[in-house]
Amino acid sequence: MTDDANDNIGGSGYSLEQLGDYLDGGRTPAIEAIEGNAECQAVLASLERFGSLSRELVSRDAAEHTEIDETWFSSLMSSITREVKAGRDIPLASADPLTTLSITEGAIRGLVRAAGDSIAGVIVGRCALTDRAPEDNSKGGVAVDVSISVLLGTPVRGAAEAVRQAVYGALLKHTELLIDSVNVTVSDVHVIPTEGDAR
Amino acid sequence: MNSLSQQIETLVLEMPGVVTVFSSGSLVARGALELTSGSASRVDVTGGDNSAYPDRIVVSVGLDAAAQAPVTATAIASGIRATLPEGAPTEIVVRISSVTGQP
Amino acid sequence: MTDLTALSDALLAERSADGDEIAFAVLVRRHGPYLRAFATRLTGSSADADDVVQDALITAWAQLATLEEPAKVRSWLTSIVSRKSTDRIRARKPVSELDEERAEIAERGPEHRAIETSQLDALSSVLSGLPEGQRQCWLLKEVAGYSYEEIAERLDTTVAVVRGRLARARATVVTEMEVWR
Repeated sequence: MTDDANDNIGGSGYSLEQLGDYLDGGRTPAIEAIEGNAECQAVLASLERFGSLSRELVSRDAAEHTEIDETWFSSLMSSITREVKAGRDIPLASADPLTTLSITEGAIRGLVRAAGDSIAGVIVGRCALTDRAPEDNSKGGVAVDVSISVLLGTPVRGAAEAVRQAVYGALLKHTELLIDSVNVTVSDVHVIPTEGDAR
Repeated sequence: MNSLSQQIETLVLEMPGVVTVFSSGSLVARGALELTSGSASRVDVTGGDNSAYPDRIVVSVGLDAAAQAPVTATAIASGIRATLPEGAPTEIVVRISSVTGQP
Repeated sequence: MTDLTALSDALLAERSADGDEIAFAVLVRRHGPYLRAFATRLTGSSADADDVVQDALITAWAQLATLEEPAKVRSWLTSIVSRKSTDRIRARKPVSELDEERAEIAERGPEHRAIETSQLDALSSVLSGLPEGQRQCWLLKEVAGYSYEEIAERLDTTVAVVRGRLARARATVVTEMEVWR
């Protein structure tokens, strides 16, 4: 195709560049001179196809190089610092004024995850800790919201209740938090059993 | 000869319930520490060069879930305190960064 | 210990956002090859790609809580890789676009594309043969899904330049790939 042909695709009066703009704009508002022109339609179809083929090309490159360099991986994982996810320091009681004891929010979330994961058929997703001020019918404290994924076929209510109890127990054991509530939401279902589910 | 921070790190790692000692300072500070002292301890000890005791000791630990975390934290602080001269006004900070028993 | 390797992207992203390093490691192994492949095409260098992807993943770990739709973690990671790649590209010595176009590019033309064993191979050759600036605009548009404005900002140039490069890239691709229509 010569440059001249690119300036006037199929005699529509529109150039290849303009067709590209038209495509990028979602083909709205529709331009009859383009939509009604067979050559324009063919070019637009090609442009779209080469876009998705480009994405497929990257996927193919990836499939041809699935091995991850272990040195690169180790270097990356050692740069993933725990500090970044630590969150606030939650104080623990100390009799000695010169001694400060605390547990991080990150550690607490890890506890919650481990407690939830220990229930057969359950994988924990998100865990959020929110301070609740005291109200008429509650002392306030920390509201713990946990979202879980359950293995297809697992009775949902029983699993959620078991998670609630396990999380509550873990927090009682390892923190001094006043717990306002532990709320478990089933947000996902998974079908591939994991090691923990086999119990 | 082991620096005080290396000694404390070894001591803490041997305590029941302690799975790991994390680096407690920022990576930059830790890098500088390693360059100047030649030691690579994760326990942060401040002061003490010109006195019998340091000003402050900060340790960040990962525990297993067997024992209650607050009890273990108290024990760690006591264990560190026991290495210092009696009555030394050193501030001790123990931070629990992980309680799943997985390093 | 729970085996996380078969879990959905969304679940892994949520756990990673909350500090689960093991879940993050699974995401790295799962998406690493794609991110590296994209960074290699974009920067034109596999050594640069290794650095760029590592840098991007360290950033991603810190910023995971900002990901609003955990299921879209791959495209989110791709956009961070795009950003780090273009940072690296901008740090290089600038290459004159005109010089690139005057350079001899061997084996151009639709008849060569017909010999290639597959459409993907042909497209691969065409893209590799594009001048660097055009290839970057193409990849950022078609693979990373950026707008003209976003591309211009990332490459530290104007929308007009991006539009021009994309138009020339499209003209080349359409012409070279004509046999595959």
